[in-house]
Amino acid sequence: MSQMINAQRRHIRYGKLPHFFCPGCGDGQVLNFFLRAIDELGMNLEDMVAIGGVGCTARIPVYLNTDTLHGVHGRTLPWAMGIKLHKPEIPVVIFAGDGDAASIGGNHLIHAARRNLDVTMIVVNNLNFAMTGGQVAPTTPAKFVTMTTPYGSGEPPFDICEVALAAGATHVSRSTTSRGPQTIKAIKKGLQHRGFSLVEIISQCPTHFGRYALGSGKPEVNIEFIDDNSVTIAEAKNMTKDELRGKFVIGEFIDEQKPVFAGSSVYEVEE
Amino acid sequence: MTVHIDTPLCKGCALCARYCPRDVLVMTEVTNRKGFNVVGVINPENCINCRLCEMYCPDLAIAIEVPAKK
Ligand SMILES: Cc1ncc(C[n+]2csc(CCOP(=O)(O)OP(=O)(O)O)c2C)c(N)n1
Ligand code: SF4
Ligand code: SF4
Repeated sequence: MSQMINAQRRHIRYGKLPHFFCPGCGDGQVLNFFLRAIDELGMNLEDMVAIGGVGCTARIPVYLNTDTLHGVHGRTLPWAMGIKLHKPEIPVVIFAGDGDAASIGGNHLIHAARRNLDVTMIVVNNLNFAMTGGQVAPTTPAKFVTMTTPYGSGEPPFDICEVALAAGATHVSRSTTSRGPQTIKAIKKGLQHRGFSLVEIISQCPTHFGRYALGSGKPEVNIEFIDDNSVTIAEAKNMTKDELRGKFVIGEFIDEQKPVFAGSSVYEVEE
Repeated sequence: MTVHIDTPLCKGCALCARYCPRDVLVMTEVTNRKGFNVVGVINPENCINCRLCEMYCPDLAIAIEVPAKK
């Protein structure tokens, strides 16, 4: 019996596996989901540019058979902007951690959303700064222990989707790594959308968030935490503000067409 | 159905075993070159080709083979 190889592996840069993600990390799952979305849409990775800043999540593009930019923390969107102004026809996808996207890169995020830059930004939110050892992030839920908040975070967290919506993003959704089919669909919709699409995926970092905040580095414990705290948009409608504290609201928040910022003919939408 | 596990890539996270609805996959004491306990296939005849393990494996280590129709 010969060994059959996972079909998504043909999209991985030669010799790059095993990847550097820890056992059970959500980043590996997002890589898998993304490749499935690409296959289902029949897109060609070689025609695309994938961008990562710095962080665990930011390494996803390093494994892809795309053209890849990697290595400047928080500045994925300025790179994307440069590409889109020069060659608007190239599909650009960004993989950013919550720190990359919303902490150091937060200002770029609001202005890319406001301008409706035509890129797909996949934000893998593992609720902490993972690569540097599990420090508190603007997305860490209040009262949770991290490496730098041994008595629990005293700050209110940030809702990345709400920020993008307030800034004018035209496609915004949130999903979780434990909802595979929904996440693949969300990535597909993000890739197909013309304009700024933000696809947030709540993800597990068993190594740091798990061990500090949840007291367990077991992937399944981390996934159960996310599942137990996820509610759909429909469920959230019947919940009070207090009940919603610390919950992840899952679903598509907006999907609309507006003039896009791309190329030399900025703000011209083609039909 | 044949469940192929690429053991050099497996990191022993056990997520595939968690998602399998038919208990086809179990963690073993066998370690690979990187020192991870790898997953094993115990009763492949129970596999219903749902492919949840393949979809949720963070390491792209699983492939399900459907037997060719006679
Ligand atoms: C300009 C700059 N500041 C700080 C760092 C250090 N640094 C590296 S990764 C990182 C945060 C990573 O967190 P996140 O973006 O959420 O990604 P994750 O690792 O959690 O996927 C930081 C602060 C850096 N590389 N460059
Ligand atoms: S530190 Fe956390 S986010 Fe980074 S690879 Fe490990 S589990 Fe994943
Ligand atoms: S999900 Fe993948 S890496 Fe994890 S135990 Fe199963 S085969 Fe190994």
